[in-house]
Amino acid sequence: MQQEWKIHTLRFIILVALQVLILQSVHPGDGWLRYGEIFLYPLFLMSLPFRMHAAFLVMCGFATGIIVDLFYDTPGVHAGASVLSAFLRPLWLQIIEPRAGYDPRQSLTRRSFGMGWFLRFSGGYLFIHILAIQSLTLFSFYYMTDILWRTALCWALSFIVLFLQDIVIHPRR
Amino acid sequence: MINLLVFLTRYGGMLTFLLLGGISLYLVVRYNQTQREIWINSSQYYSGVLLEKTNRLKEYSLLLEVADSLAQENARLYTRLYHQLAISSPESTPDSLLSQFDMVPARIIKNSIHLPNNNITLDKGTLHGVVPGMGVILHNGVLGIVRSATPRFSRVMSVLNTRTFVSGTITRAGAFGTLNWTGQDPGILIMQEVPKHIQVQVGDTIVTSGHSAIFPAGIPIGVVRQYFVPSGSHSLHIEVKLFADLARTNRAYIVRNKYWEEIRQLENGE
Repeated sequence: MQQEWKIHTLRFIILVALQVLILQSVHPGDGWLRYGEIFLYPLFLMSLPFRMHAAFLVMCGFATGIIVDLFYDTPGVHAGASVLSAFLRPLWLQIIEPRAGYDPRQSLTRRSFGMGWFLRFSGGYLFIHILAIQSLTLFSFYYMTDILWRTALCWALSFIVLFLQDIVIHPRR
Repeated sequence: MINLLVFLTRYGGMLTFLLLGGISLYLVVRYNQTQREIWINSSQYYSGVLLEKTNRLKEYSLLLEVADSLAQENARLYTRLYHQLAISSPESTPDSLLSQFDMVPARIIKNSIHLPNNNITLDKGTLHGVVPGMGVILHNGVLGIVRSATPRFSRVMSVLNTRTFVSGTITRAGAFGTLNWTGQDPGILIMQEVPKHIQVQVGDTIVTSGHSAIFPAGIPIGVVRQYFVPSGSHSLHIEVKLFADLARTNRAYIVRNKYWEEIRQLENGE
């Protein structure tokens, strides 16, 4: 138990630091590509223990988001997106529940429930999160098309990076 | 206490989400210039739309009042109009008779057109100066003659009543006649007593003649639809199409004649 909290804390520090110190300044190109951004910190919220109470999950989301916001200088945008995605996580987990159900002791990773499940879980979670970020950034139905294509762009980039880091950090199946 | 805990375990996530989501939204709007402007503009727009809608609703509820005040206004204008007509008519009367008529606006609260003798109820009575014998007109025609009046209501003999007779003039020919209903088509009156040598054309306008204390002269009644001379008769039989659709009207003006008493005394004294 003690060990598990250490892992989550460490993951929190590493991912948030990575996000605000490195990924914040990474842009894939000029023109329309400059709206492409990589958001990796949601991985921390995704990986929080399965049994964690929804209220606490939402609080963790808010805390993470507000710290990211401090560095992005966008008060409330990442906090709001994290609160939303954390709140919807139990629902999303329920929707994509594997046939065998969840084992509450296992962590929500690729190794626990398999590659297919993990891709669906992280892909869906990232999509909700990034859609919320773009919605709160552009903040108007008037920009609906911009919101959607920026979401698609950022989602694709973030998803690739998330997948790669998972392969790199846990090379064994 | 237990219930509260159960409630918090079950809905704690939702409550926290609403609270922290609300805070995030507040932060977004409060500290981000672009979002702040969008927020202010949109909220102004939507509150404007909402205000407009509630205003429309309020106006709608005031509609009856507005219609009443417009009817008052109309009555005043009609009074002045007939005043003007009286001044400009060639056989002008002495000044004291010019403002002989004034109008009381009234609402029709009961009406029929299908009986042989139709009657109408109005929402004005003796309290408003209405007495039996007064004429009732519409904005585009003649409605009838007051038959009886209580303090707040009055009963009107419709022109669609076989016992109602209205004196009319064919404007182009200048001939007089009496209009009456046959009890059949509620859009048609029959005009009689017009001598057969009078040149009448289909489409001629019929107005009130003013040959009584009931209606002022010049109120439009209808147009000639067709006419013929019945065999053995010396007068024309003219079908007059009414301007007014009596089935659809709901506002009327009661014509008050200032010298009503005087005229009646004079006529009864003979």
